[in-house]
Amino acid sequence: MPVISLEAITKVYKLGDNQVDALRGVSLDIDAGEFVSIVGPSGSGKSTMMHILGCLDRPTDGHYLLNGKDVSALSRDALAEIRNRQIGFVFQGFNLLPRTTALENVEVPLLYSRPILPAAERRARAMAALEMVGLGNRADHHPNQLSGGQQQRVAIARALVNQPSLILADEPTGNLDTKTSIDVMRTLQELREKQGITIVLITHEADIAAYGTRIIAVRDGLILSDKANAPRPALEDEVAPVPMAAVN
Amino acid sequence: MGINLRMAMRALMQNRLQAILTLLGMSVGVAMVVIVSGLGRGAQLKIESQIEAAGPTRITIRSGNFVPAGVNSSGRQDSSGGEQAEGQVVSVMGDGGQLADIGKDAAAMDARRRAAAVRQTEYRNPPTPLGAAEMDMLRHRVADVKAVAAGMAGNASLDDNADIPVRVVRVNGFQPAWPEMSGWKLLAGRMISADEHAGGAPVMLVTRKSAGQLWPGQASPLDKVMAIGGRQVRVVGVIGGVDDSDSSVVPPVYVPVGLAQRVLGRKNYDTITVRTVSVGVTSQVAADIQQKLRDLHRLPDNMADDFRVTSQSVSAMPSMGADPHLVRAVHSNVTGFEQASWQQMAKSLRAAGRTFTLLLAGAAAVSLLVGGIGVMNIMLVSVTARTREIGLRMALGARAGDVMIQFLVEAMTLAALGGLIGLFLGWIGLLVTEYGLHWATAASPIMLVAALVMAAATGIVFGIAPARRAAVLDPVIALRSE
Ligand SMILES: Nc1ncnc2c1ncn2[C@@H]1O[C@H](COP(=O)(O)OP(=O)(O)OP(=O)(O)O)[C@@H](O)[C@H]1O
Ligand SMILES: [Mg+2]
Repeated sequence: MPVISLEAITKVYKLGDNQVDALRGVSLDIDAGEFVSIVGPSGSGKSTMMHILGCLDRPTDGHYLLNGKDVSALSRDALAEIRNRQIGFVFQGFNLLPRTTALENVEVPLLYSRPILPAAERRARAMAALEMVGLGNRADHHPNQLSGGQQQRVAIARALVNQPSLILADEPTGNLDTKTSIDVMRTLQELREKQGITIVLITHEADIAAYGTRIIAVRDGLILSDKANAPRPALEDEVAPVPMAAVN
Repeated sequence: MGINLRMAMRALMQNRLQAILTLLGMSVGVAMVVIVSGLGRGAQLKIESQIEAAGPTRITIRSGNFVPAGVNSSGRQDSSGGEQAEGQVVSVMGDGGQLADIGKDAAAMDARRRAAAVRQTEYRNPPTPLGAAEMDMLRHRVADVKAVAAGMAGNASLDDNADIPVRVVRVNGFQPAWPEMSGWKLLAGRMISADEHAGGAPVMLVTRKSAGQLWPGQASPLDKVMAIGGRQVRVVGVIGGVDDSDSSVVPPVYVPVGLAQRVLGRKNYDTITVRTVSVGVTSQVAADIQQKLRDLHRLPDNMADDFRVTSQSVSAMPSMGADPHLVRAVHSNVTGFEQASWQQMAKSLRAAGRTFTLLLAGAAAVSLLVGGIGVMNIMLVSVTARTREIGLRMALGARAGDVMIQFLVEAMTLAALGGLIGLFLGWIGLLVTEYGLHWATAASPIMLVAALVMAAATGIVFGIAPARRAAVLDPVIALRSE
């Protein structure tokens, strides 16, 4: 059973008399453990697709099965619950709470899980997630005391903390330089390899897309191409490989 | 809840200046509520005490019967008319025991009532003086009496005093219960102690006015000594609240009754004042006293009272705070003053007090409203400024209710903190009005708690709109905002 199954998804934005067809019938299956890179020019509908995949928005038409369950017509609160339990988000702008420690940032999704976990357990889980991305020793740092790459890895830890089946990343390296971009991509790659988490990544850049096992090109709200990809192996990178925990 | 509180505190800390300004607004509102409730309650208590003072709880007994022909205060027909003619003194003072048998006493009263139709054509003159027997009777044989105080007054020549320009003072002897009964206020020094009263010690109280007459140009009359009747009498206190509206050029001084007796050279009291336990029983007590005094003085049925019992003490009513028209009306109406009209006066006084409190409460409500609008403002700004955070929280799984509660708790925390500060400010404000302006205040703990609850409720009421606005945000749009 695919993790994600889109059936003829359309999304129409109405702007007064104008209407924008952001998605015009997208059908797509993504299996567990895939690392899918979605590429396409600006305005092609990548973010719209991700909002729907992430249950932040509902399609105008079509069906979206997440882990076999149709979520295209669920209520706001039901979607919130699904986002909390099954999906982790990584944004271009990190979106960490300012003046809040890395650990507490990672804890936030747990505050919205019901039943709520005891404080000690929340801390332990958040700490484990931070260690998974190699930032266990930065738990008490505030975002402004961390580099961009570290901030994005804190965001990845936050996406991981509730053990989702799917991580959605919308241009996670858009604000990072090449070197730190590679760190972040490695982190994502490792998650897929070690934990089998499904990852959907949106990007402009071909060399970032190359980290995926599958590359989907989108244009004008339609899928242009959909190819398997031999993921860029870490060892062939221009930067020497470093064990995860040491990359800070 | 704990998490929400911590989140709220953190958000407020991050917005420190705005939060502080809002806190100020809120605390002013709560301080107003505290001050107003304190003042309102103080005013109401004061009015109650004025009603108590103005209402007939005081009964004054004088020797001799000077009531003009007509209906006297107890509604009893009295045709004596003016001061009584000279005649044989028939004193029954001091032999006691005549009232030992209460049953006999009651029977005598019954008989008296049956014989009420007997015309009182005889008069005793001079009247029986008021003394220890009367005091004893009033203290121990009359029910519903709260306090008894005898008093006497007379002018007395001063011995040679180097520093006193006047020759004569009015010596007022009083007993310990009197200052409280008549509403004296201590302005400086101390009152005369119980021991000094008992021993008739050479100490005295003066008013500001009499002090000025006795020792003109002196800052304080305390510890000044006045030689009178061979005694050196020392000033221990300055009092106010004395009814000296009719005082002449002779300066009054207030001394223990024992001292007045020696200085004035007589034993008898001029007046005995009785305070009853409550307004309702006063006329009964007055009638009882009249009856028992008649028995004590062994007045036959056909003889008129040789004393006068009046149960009005309107003159003791302090005019402070009361409507002057009302005070004048009450004063001019002394003779016809009955329970019904007293109750009416009490009613209108209470109504005036309520109006005063309501007005103040209105002002407090307005300032609380302003504080609430401040809370609403900062919360709206906060929601706008943190739209992205809200979008993020929603993406991470916050339901509409979670977001709503987060902002409500923040608004409530802000308002309650403001409320706490306001309690403190209000407390200071009450102290200032009480000790600086000498206004009556009374803070009740319930009101203080209510002020806090009201502050928190204001936070909730004015926090709902911003919190709703946050909760209904579309996560996609919120995430995209800058
Ligand atoms: N809320 C909206 N209202 C109206 N039109 C929208 C809205 N969101 C997106 N669009 C339109 O839908 C189309 C697809 O937008 P989308 O954001 O998915 O593009 P994108 O591929 O993510 O582009 P970029 O690479 O620039 O992020 C665009 O034409 C955009 O203008
Ligand atoms: Mg986009």
